[in-house]
Order: sequence, then structure tokens, then C-alpha cells
Amino acid sequence: MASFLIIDDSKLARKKQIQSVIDAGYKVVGEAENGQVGFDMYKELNPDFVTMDIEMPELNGIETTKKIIEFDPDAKIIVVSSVMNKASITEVLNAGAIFHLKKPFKSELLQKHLVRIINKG
Amino acid sequence: MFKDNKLFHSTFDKQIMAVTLSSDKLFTYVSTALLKELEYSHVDLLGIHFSKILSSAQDESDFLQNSLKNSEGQYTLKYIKKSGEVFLATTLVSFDESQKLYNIIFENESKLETTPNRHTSKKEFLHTILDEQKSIIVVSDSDRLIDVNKAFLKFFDVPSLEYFLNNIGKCISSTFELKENGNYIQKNVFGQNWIEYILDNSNELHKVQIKNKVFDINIVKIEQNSDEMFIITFYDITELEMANKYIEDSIEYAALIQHSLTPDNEIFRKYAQEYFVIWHPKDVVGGDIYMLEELRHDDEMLLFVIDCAGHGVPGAFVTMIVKSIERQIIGHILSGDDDDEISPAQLLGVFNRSMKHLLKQENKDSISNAGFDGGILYYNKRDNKIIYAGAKTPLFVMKNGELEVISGDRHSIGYKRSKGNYSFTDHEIDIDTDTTIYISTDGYLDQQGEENKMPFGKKKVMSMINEYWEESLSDQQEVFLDEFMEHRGDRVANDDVTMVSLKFLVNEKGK
Repeated sequence: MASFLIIDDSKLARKKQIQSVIDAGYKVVGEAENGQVGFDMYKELNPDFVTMDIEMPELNGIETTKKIIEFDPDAKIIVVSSVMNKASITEVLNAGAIFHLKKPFKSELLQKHLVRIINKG
Repeated sequence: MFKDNKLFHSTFDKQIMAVTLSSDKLFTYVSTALLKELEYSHVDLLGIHFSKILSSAQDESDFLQNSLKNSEGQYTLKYIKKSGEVFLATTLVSFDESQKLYNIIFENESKLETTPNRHTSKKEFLHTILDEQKSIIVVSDSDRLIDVNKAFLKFFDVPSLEYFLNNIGKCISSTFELKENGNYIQKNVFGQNWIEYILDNSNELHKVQIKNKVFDINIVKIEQNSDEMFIITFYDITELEMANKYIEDSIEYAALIQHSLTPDNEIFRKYAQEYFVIWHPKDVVGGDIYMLEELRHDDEMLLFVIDCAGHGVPGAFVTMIVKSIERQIIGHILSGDDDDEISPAQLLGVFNRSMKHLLKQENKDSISNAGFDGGILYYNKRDNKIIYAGAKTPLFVMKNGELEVISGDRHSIGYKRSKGNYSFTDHEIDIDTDTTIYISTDGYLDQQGEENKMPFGKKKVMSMINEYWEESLSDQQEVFLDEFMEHRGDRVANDDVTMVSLKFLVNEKGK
């Protein structure tokens, strides 16, 4: 069963994403409220997938993605953010994130994308 | 034969002369290709009896009484055009699944006379029609090609289908080129056979690239002798794709330029304990813009939240004008005396006059009529106060559980109808560590709901602030986004949406 680490500074956003992951039939191994904590948890938990916000205190989603990919080039990071700035989205995808989902979203949409991404391998 | 009339109509409308008749022989569908041949319009024929296009009473009687009696078949009949001219057409009749609708395909006999091998069976008749199409058309059982038209042979430069099957592949999907971007169809899409995937998602556009050409694919499922087969049409949309890509690339680049006008996050952190920005243009670029500028020292800043006329490319043009005026204003402030007082109301006045002047909107005969609504907020950490002036844009201030709404002036900036000498109003508000402000453009407040079409509304925003003000701004942002999405549902956004919220970093000594 695929495992997920949820990194988002909003506890409401984390709650929503955790529920979506569980409803899609996968498991959540950890949640982090900022990029730095998220990076530390990634090293410790080695999840199959990460959902990542962009705007966060301490370490933002772009920098966190870069650090995780540097640590684990095979890391699979799904960006979930309300940021619409093209430069930021391009930067995080270039850093190694595999997908960007714009907030707000319906839970079913995140589930659909998770199933698609996981089935695609 | 054709199980799905809708798909058949959409796929072959412009290419094949065809009609569908109701059980009482009234036209329910007439293809564009036949209308062109007969010189009629849809209005002339839909709901009218089939006999209208038959050339003689004899034909009508024979055809309707003998031929359209639950028997599929092929007939040669005379038809009459709107102009009175008669044309001879081979006519192939089939029924839909319910046996209630007649699908009739015509082929002009004058074209057939030039065909050396005159068709004799229904299969040959269909094949002749397919051969005349410019688009590539293939018949497949999903795994293997069964038949192809001349356009196919010409495109792949092969003498026959057998040659293709032996030397290139059993299915046309073996020629699909891998494209990283743009949702191009591959042999398997998300683990599903490409034909099944396209039929399951028939409302979407499905593109494929073959030999550097881009095609739009349409598929019609047919049943013959209880076997399932698929007629697949490949329309060449290469030129359209190139034109689209050119426009998309230009607008994407314009978006990068527009996004570069927005402030970096670091600057927000200098003045706010917490903040959030929702900035969602309706299209790739938009008419909303927000700016945050540091002024003469680290303690003071100006925040602009602006909703320019229109959205999309025209709106984005106006944001560029706004940015250029804003830079002039900031330059003027920076070159002035440190003790000069900053008045957002006066700055709105400068914007108003400058916009009218730059866009030549000082008189009623002006061609353009652009402007903006928006708010300007000045913050000085030294004395823990903010000054706000709004042009049809409210400021929501939440302080220790008390919500105050400052409506701003009911006067827009720059439009022809805006008065050039209008004086806007400054509102001064003392703040402390628990003060949070929210400024939103009308794209958020006026968004129509999916069910009741009512605007989201200022009252709803006030109620959300009252309910969630003690939560972190990250969580409040989630609430603002989710409630907005809940209200909007699947309805398209009315306008660009911007909301900026700040919880100020205050000077504890000045408290």
C-alpha cells in the first residue's frame, strides 16, 4: 500500500488531504506543518509519495522539494497549492515535483489524481 | 448499424451526406454535407417529411411504402434540390438499435459513374464513401485494422492494408508518437486501451501525433453480425495546433511577465506575523494585481489591491499601466522628504487623473474606457496605525474579535465617467498584535453560485471572518478557498479573484 507524507502549513489542508489519501485506499505515515519539519520526516519515514504546499514558513515548498530530491532523486512529490504564479510552479516542477494540483479542489479530484499517478508508476 | 447516432453525426456531419428520419419519416437530422448538396438549410428540412426531397410521386410511393418497411437496403433514387435541379443518388438505409430511427446515407450517382469498379454490396458502398474522404478513416476491431481508406494509404505511403499490417503494425496505434506534454493519446492511456479510453471520455478532445502531424480522433462504435467494430476518423489539426501553440506560448510568457510584478513573499514577512494571498486570474493572465512596496524606511509600506477593467489580455494590459503609474508614485515618495505624510486617498486621486490622462479618457468621446476599483493601505510600524482608502473596495478589519468594515468611496478610478477632481477619503485605524485586515476584489464577493446564481457576498465574508478569526491565516485561507469553491461549484469563474490578508507585525514599544 502506497504511503504518503503530507506537508502543509494549514492543519485544515492537512486534514483534508489525509482524508483524501485514506479514502483513495492509501496510508499516511506523517504530516508536517512546514518544509523543514517535512524534510526531516521524509528522511526518517521514507514515504512513497509526498504532498507539498508551496507557501510555508521556515522552508517553502520549492526549497523543500529541492532538498528532498537532492536527498532522494526518486522521491515522488505532488504539489498541492493555491499559488498560481507561473514562475513558482515551473520552478517546483523543474526541481523534481511530478504534478501540481491547484487549491481549492474537491477531495474526489485529489483521489482521482493519486490513483492515476500511482497506477502510472 | 450505427448504435450511437450522436457520435455518428458529430463525426461525419461535414463529410457524409446523411439523414436520420423518425418513424413517421420526418427529418430529425440532416448532415451539413447533404444540406450543401441540396442547397437547403436546417430550418428548411428539420421536422419536415422526407418526401420533400424526393423528385417524384413514384419515387416517394415506392421508396416509402416498399423500402422503408423495416428492411435495410440499398436503392437508387432521384432527389430534388432547392433550385429544382434533380440529382441521382445511391441510398443506403439502416436502422438504429431501437428500430425506430432510419439512418440514410446518400452518394451522388454522378460521382459513382466515374468509379471504375461499381460497388454492389453495402460494404463496398460504405468503402467508396470512405475513400472519398480527405481525412484518414480506419475500421478496427480494437486490436487489428480491418479496413482503411485511400487517405490512410497515401499518408503512410503504403500500397495496401496488407502491406501496412505486415511491415508497420497490426494497429494504427503502433504509429502514435510519444509526446511528453499536451495530453496526446498513446496506445494505452492510464492502463486502458486507447479506443476504450476515447469512447469513455467522448466529451473531450483527443489528440494524437503521427509522423509529426497532429490529429483529432473521433470514434464510432458499430455492430455487424454481433461483432463490435470501430470506425475511427483522424482529422488533421496540425495547423490549428501550431496556431494555438503560438498564442498559448505568447500568453504564457505574458503571464510570466505579469506574475513578476507581484511582490516576493519575503517582503510580506517583514510586515506581517502571518499573511495569505489568493490571486487567481480567471484566465492565464488577468486584470487583478496586488503590489506591496517598502517606502522610505523599513517601517512603512504601501499595499495595493487592484481590480482593473476586464480580465484576460485586455485586463492584463491595464495592470501594466497601473504598475507603471504605481512606480512613478513610489519614485516620487522616495525622492521626497522623510516626514511627508502619506495619504492613500491622495494616491488614488493621482491614479485617477493619470489613468484618465494616459488613456485619453478625459472627455466623453474617448474610444477607450478603462480604469479600476481597488484599495490602497499604508502601514507604519512606528506608530502602529494603518491608513486605508478604497475605490469601490471595502477593507475588513478584525481587531480583538470586533469586525469593522470600511466601505471605501463609491467612485472608480480612471474611467470616462470618473470625475478627475474627485477627492477620496482616508480612514485611519489603530492596530495591535491581534489586528488582521482583509482586502478583496469583487471577483470573490460577486462570484455567482452554482445553484442559486446569487453572489458570494460581503455578508458571507463577514460571517467567515467572525467564525474563523482566531484560526491561523493559513487555515483561514483554506476556509476562504473551500467556501468559495463550494459556492461556485462547477460554474466558471465570473472574474479574476484576489484576496490579501495580513496580521500585522506591530511595534511593541508603540503599543
